[in-house]
Amino acid sequence: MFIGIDVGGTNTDAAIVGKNDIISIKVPNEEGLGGIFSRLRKFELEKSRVVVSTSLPLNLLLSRASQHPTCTILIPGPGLNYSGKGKVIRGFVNHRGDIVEDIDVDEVEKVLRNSGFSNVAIASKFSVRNAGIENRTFEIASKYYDTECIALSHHVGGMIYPYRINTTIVNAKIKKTVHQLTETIKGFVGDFFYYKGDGGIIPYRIALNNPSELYNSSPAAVAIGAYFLTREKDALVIDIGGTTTDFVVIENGMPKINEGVEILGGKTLVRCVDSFSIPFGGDSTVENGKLLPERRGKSVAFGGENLTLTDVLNAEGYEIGDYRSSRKAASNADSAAIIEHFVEMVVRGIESLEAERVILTGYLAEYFSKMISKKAGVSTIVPEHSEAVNAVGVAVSRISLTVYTRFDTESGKAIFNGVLEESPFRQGSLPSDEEMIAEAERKLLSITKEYGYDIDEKVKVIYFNSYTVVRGGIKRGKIADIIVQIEPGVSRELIER
Amino acid sequence: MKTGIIYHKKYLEHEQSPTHPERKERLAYTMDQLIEEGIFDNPAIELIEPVEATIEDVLEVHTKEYVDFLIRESKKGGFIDWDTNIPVGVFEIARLAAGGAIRAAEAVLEEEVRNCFAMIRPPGHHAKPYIGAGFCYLNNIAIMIRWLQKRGIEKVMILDWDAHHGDGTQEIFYDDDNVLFISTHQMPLYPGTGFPYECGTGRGEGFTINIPLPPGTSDEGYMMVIEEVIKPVAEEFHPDFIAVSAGQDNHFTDPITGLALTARGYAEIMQETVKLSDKYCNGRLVAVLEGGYSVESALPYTNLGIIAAMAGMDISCIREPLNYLPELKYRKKEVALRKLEDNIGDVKKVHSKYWKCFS
Repeated sequence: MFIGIDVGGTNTDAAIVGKNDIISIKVPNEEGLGGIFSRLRKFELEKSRVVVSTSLPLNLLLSRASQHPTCTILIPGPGLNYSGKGKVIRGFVNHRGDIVEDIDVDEVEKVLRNSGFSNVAIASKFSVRNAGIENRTFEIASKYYDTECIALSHHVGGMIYPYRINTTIVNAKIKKTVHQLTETIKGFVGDFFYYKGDGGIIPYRIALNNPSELYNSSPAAVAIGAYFLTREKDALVIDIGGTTTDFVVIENGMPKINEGVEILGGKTLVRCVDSFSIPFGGDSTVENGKLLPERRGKSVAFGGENLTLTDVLNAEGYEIGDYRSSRKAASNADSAAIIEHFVEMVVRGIESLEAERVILTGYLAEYFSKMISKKAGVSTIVPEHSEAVNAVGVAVSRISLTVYTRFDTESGKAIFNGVLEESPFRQGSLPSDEEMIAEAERKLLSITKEYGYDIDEKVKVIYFNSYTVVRGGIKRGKIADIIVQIEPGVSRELIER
Repeated sequence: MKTGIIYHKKYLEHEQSPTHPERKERLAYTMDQLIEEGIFDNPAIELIEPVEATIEDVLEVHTKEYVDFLIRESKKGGFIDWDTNIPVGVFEIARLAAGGAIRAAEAVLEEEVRNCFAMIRPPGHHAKPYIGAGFCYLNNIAIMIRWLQKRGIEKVMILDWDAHHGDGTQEIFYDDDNVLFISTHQMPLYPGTGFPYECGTGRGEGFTINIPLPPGTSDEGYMMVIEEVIKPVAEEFHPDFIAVSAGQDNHFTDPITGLALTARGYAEIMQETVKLSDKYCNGRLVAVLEGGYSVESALPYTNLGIIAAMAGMDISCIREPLNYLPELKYRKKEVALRKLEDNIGDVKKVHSKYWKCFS
């Protein structure tokens, strides 16, 4: 079975996707993870693939980033000036991945002795070609800080040093929280996967080193879930949640991805689904005849004290929760106008994206479907289980791993994600491009197997460049940079049925 | 305003032969460095796609006979000289390089960007109207300048700081008083020309200035040339556009030359050039990549230095890794500075009848 859990701002949703059926559960966050897992116990957790999406807690943590000051240690060597981003120290890894200037241990210690920081980010230029000096700096830093509070840039993966620095800082700030969360979840389920912002899933051990990948994953989950439930390959998904309404476009069955997402005011190497939100949802407050972009608590229909969008829907004749209390509370409100206003905002979103086909999800979807369809002149679909579309998306996504490979046969190196390993090619040999790509693909599949995921997914080559190294007029070897990836999407065993 | 970079992945594909110094590997390490530094993602930088130069643009500089020869030989592979053979398909890539230079000039002229670095291959400054030479097929910078002249730019100042004399460019503009060609180059070295007495002909007399550099000339020597020759002449000529033949084979690790410029030195001379462009021509400046064969130790740092200086970035951390510095000790020669003073004296003497600043 495939179990997806999405920890939202107010509720945690779970979906259990079996051979022929889908069961969904919603639990308020007050009950904690224990609440959701105790309800899931009857679904054979050990035999299921469990995936957790936690983007909202992480987003919240990052909104209070100043409470987690980071000691940023940079090892850029020659090039542009990075002193505005952190403390620059001696040392340099060059473009070939050779350590040509070493770190000065005393200098590192001196930086670390400065107090007032709660975590450490360490980033050397070209660390993805050689993580050596980052690892040495880490060893020194671990004398001063818990290892869960230290993030290294080579775990981020890609090139573009300034973005890698920013990503490493984000990782440093959230790493400890993700560690603690992981321990808690492991206590309930053992092995599990995390859900990424681009809609793929990764083994929790990979996420521990690069937790920024978990950032803002809900829109991806909504998009993948909506596609899985409807099999509509091209549509706009509108998810009406409690506090926001999110818009995500799916093209050819996949949400569009934004590269270089900005977090904490700086561009990072994080990839996220392209989406936008309006700050209104079912729990948005209604006051003085107006819909306000804030949630003060539960709707009257669900035992709260604040009049909300959900309550005015009840006032207009719907029967959601304790609709009688809603109607009493909303007796003075101009319910029709408020609903009309909300529908108009949604329609504007549809028009800005020039969508023709709309999938509506969230627990209010069925109530708004006709109004939105009529007003926008588009066809709308409300899939079954639409209230748990996010959790369904989390459950059904496929493992998505990326391997950054560099082969340098002149120096006899093979580097996978910044880690030097034994090269499959003899030093000085001149393998063909095809042979090099095949080795990178083999590596990716072997990592997938290592994490117990023994299913053939299609590997895509997303970058390839190679050239011959010539010294003294003689070919001395060949260099290739290869990025291979199992793309995000719905797990093959689920899509084929 | 931004700094443009002209680049196309096809520029990486050109190889005369897999072991020729002007090969694919030349820009590969530079691209690594620029990508890692975030240059292509920097808000101060605009990456611009080149287009192929038209045959008409090429014919403004080169003879029809040579162009026909190049088209024909480029189909089956051929030969120009010992340094320069004609690999199959080179004409298209050479047109893309010349077109890259034109696109750079256009981007500056149309104010899409403030200035622009055409990071193109193959290079061009040895190519003459009637024949290619010295790794060059089409004279990119000359084709660009003819294009600019047709669009109303009158006076262009060329700074050719490649370690080799830009004999092709000199020949093309030798009789043109609207194009001031200033070349600094190691002497003696290929192609053997570039003496101070080669100073132009007819109306162009005095508008070719050759400053030979002795082996071992260092950052200080280049600064001396800028202060003593380039700045005063620029003041008097008052260019409408500055074009740099940015060869990077003067770096102290270059395997086929003997000069001793550092990466910081490159950034600094480009910074001075940017200042001249600000002073005389509203910042209009295009740098066109020429030679440079220290692919691993120099080019990543010198190309970055040039781009950083053009974009007005902080160049205080531009340098080469410390492990190369012992080589500088053997390259840099104090005696070269005294010889250079002497050479500059010769240049001023030759040009004293053309330029008030030297009389």
